[in-house]
Amino acid sequence: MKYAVAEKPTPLRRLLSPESYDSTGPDLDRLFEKVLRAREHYYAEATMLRRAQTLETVFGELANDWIVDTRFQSSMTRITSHPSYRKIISLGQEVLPLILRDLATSPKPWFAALREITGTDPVQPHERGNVRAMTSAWLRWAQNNNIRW
Amino acid sequence: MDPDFRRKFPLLVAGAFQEISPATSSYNCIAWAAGVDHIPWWPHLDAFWPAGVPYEDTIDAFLKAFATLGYTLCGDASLESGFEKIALYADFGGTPTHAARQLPDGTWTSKLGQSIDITHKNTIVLNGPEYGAAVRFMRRPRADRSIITP
Repeated sequence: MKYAVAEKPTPLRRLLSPESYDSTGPDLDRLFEKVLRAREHYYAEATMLRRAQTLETVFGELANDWIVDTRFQSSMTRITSHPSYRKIISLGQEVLPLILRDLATSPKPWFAALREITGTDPVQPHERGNVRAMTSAWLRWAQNNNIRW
Repeated sequence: MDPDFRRKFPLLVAGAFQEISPATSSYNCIAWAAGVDHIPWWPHLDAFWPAGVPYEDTIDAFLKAFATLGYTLCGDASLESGFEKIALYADFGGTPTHAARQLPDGTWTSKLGQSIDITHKNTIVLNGPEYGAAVRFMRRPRADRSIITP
């Protein structure tokens, strides 16, 4: 036996559909109001703090996973292609202070991630490979670019 | 010894090795086998790699890197009077993973990645899921060499 299923628009489809709104009527005003409220909430201090805390937690878990998995590895190729390392890079610019803080506390091979996220490389040719010198070069670069960690 | 260590190095049981220095990422196993303790060696932008050696993760490139220090291929890990040896480890796909250096008494020393330095009684104890197995051995006349520092 076959049943005819009435097509019911999903909430997202309703939201995006122009037919859902009268472009001159109160519907549009209500929509703007909703967008403004959502924006205010997004940028509210508490929300920002929660986002920062969430990012810190996510970073901490990924970094720990990466460290535990690669601590006995010497292969820079394996170390910098570990899935958790790649996920940290995918978090983008927001994660920079957390990487820099970790680098300043105990140097680790974060240099490839920093290069990929920032698109720059402040390490001089004579510093290459020297973990301490590369760490200093990146922390100096961060200070010069007003990035706090 | 934590369970992760035991899983990664199933043959490295208590008594088969001794920790000799704390964890650091300032250098790695290839550097340590080469007698260097201030910079990591790897064909990678963030490490040192000898000039003229292929910039690739292959056994051949790593043998050439050690050849720049006077090492030549030899048959096994046995102690030979007047020679010091290195052992190159590779995973089952043939990608280099680790190197160890023989000490004058016939035991071996290794830097375990970004972790500790150890001495171990032979090369076999590091075989396992983490490093694969020692696949090539090289030797050079033993001189009174100390660790190279900057």
